Amino acid sequence: MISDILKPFHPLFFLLLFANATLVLPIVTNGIRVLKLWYSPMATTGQASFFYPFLEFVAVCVVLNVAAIILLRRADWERFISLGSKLGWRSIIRGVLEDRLGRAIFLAYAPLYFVSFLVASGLLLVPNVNVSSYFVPLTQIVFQANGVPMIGPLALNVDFLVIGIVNTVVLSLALIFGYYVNCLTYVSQRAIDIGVRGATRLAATQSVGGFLATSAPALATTSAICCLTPTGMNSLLYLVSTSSSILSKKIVWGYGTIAGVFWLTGSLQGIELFSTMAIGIALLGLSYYQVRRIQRSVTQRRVLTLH
Amino acid sequence: MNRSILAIAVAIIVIIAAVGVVFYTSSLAKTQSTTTSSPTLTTSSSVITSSSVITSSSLSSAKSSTSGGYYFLIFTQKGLVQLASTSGTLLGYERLYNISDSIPAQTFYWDEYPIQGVAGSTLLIPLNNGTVKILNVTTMKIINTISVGSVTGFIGIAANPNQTLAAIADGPSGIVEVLSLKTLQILWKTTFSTPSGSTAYPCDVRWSPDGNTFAIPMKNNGTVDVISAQTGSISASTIVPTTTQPYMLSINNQGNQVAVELAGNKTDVFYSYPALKPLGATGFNSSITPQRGVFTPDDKYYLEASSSSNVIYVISTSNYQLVNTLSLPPSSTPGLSDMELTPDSNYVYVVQHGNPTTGGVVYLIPLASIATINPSSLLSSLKSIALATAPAIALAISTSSGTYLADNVLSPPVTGLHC
Repeated sequence: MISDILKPFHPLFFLLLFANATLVLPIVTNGIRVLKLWYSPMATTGQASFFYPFLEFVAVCVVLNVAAIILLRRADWERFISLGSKLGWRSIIRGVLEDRLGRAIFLAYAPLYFVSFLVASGLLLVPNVNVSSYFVPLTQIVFQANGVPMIGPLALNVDFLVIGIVNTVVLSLALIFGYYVNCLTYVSQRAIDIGVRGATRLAATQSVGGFLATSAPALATTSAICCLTPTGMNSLLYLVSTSSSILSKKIVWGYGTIAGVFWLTGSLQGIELFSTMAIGIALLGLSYYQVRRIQRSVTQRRVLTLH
Repeated sequence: MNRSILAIAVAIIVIIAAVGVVFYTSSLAKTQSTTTSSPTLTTSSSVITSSSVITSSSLSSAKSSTSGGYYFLIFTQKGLVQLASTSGTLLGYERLYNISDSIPAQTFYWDEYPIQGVAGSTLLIPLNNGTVKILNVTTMKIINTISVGSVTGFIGIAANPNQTLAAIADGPSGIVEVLSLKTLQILWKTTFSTPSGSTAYPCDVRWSPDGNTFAIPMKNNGTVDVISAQTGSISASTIVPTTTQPYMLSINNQGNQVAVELAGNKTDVFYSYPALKPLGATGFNSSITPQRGVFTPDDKYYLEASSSSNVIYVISTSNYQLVNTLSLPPSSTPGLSDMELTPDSNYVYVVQHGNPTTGGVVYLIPLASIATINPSSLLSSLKSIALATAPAIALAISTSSGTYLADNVLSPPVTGLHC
């Protein structure tokens, strides 16, 4: 049983798991937050207007997952990504990107993640997925009022776009490493059981880390959605407190204590907002450490086998 | 693929599906409770229509001052009006309009009439979708609907002290207008914008006691403005950071002070009126959002209702410190909306809005010893009007007018009304 658990993932299944954890789950989690928070005291009813379309979205995700798993069960895998030089992080990146499928996976994942980030962060307003269709115009008004310009449904919040780019880079690297290691261990195990352990743990760590890293935008969406309600308005302050537009307005404020409370709550929310992302990135760092360990393990075993 | 992979795959699907099932089940339960209650309402409404045709006559003869006692007209979120006595007895109801539970539109909370209660024959009811229902109080029929804005958001209405004019402030459109309650003609209408051109978001309005001006918080512009009732021009203004979000306010009974609720940083700030010079501020716990406040009749205290809990804070207007906290009974959907003084100035009444499934309560809190009353004394002296519906606004009306409505216009009370 334990040996079963320690067996490596099918590489394509790893991709599915990683995509679910980093692309789909943050959007679903965020939708649930929107549903639970709703728009009180703006409206105490009407969740159904958001819930049913959102449930359809979730159902489509489930169906696609089931279909993907059925297909993957039948899929064989013999692709081995050869590296041009000694095993290392640079050669892994280069090797995956030079591989046709690896390159395709990267090119598909990076933009998809960025779109997912935009949706989960509330910067890209998608009715019935991250905002109730009834509240789309009001959400746009709130963004504009807080100095965040809108281009159609896209809010140009520079701070969060930068976070999105950083997240995209980190998670794309995590995907490349994870994909490579899974290919390596999976094919190696099928060819000859060299007993490389840790691939399952690596996949799990990456998935959890990826989700945590991406849950920061989900929190941010809560900020964006909540700004519609007095109870959550303060959350949006975080978005604004980091932008320079407010300072440029040269607003006069006579209450030092109030301003103090304002900045304190803004800072605390900032810490809260980024805490999950920090943990997520730390876990992704841990997965990189595991890549290194596997790398050493493979190298040692190869040496032993040769001797 | 091996068994562990399959197990993880199944786990992912089960997690996603479980989330969906949980929410589907809860939503289904809500929908069922709604659909079972609706037929009762529809039937009752048709009865009301026929009876009101037979007996409606001018309410003016029955109108009198609320000094002889008062009832409450309680407007629910989804279109009912109920008449209730201060002892909690429901005396009648009418279906004014019907809004489905499955959409977020509802009667909104911010509608103020002078302390003596509704005295005119025309009453304005705000909806959070930017429309205003005009109600003939004599017949309890909606005689017109005006669209101030078209986007869902905050909207506020206030009648002037002699109830000849009403000011409407619609946040999403930025429109502020004053109309005559007699002719229903718009006297002036202005759209307030931020320097960048987006709506300034005027979403609440309160008249000065002399009726010459009113104050409006411009939530997205970060200003509080004093506006001439005659011309619509701004006569005074003060600036706060837009992020603090000034969104509600109240003017005291002497007309020399205004309290502004800042939703953004959970603070009440106090200014002189109409000059708008800073006087003081009171901060709240970060979990508390100040919703609606009212000055006590002697202006010594300011009472602040929380939108996120059933708690009222008592603030001294001499030093702007919290002097007491009044905890109302807990409820499954906590949060207070409307709060006003009763016509006899002995109580402050507050609407615990609830939702259409849970219902809500209108509490009457005695003002005597409000700064020192302890929790047990408060609970024993509370009066309450429990509703199976979700209340949005409560407005006082004289007992004579209320009796006329109960006898001649409204349907008899029905137990377990929903929506």
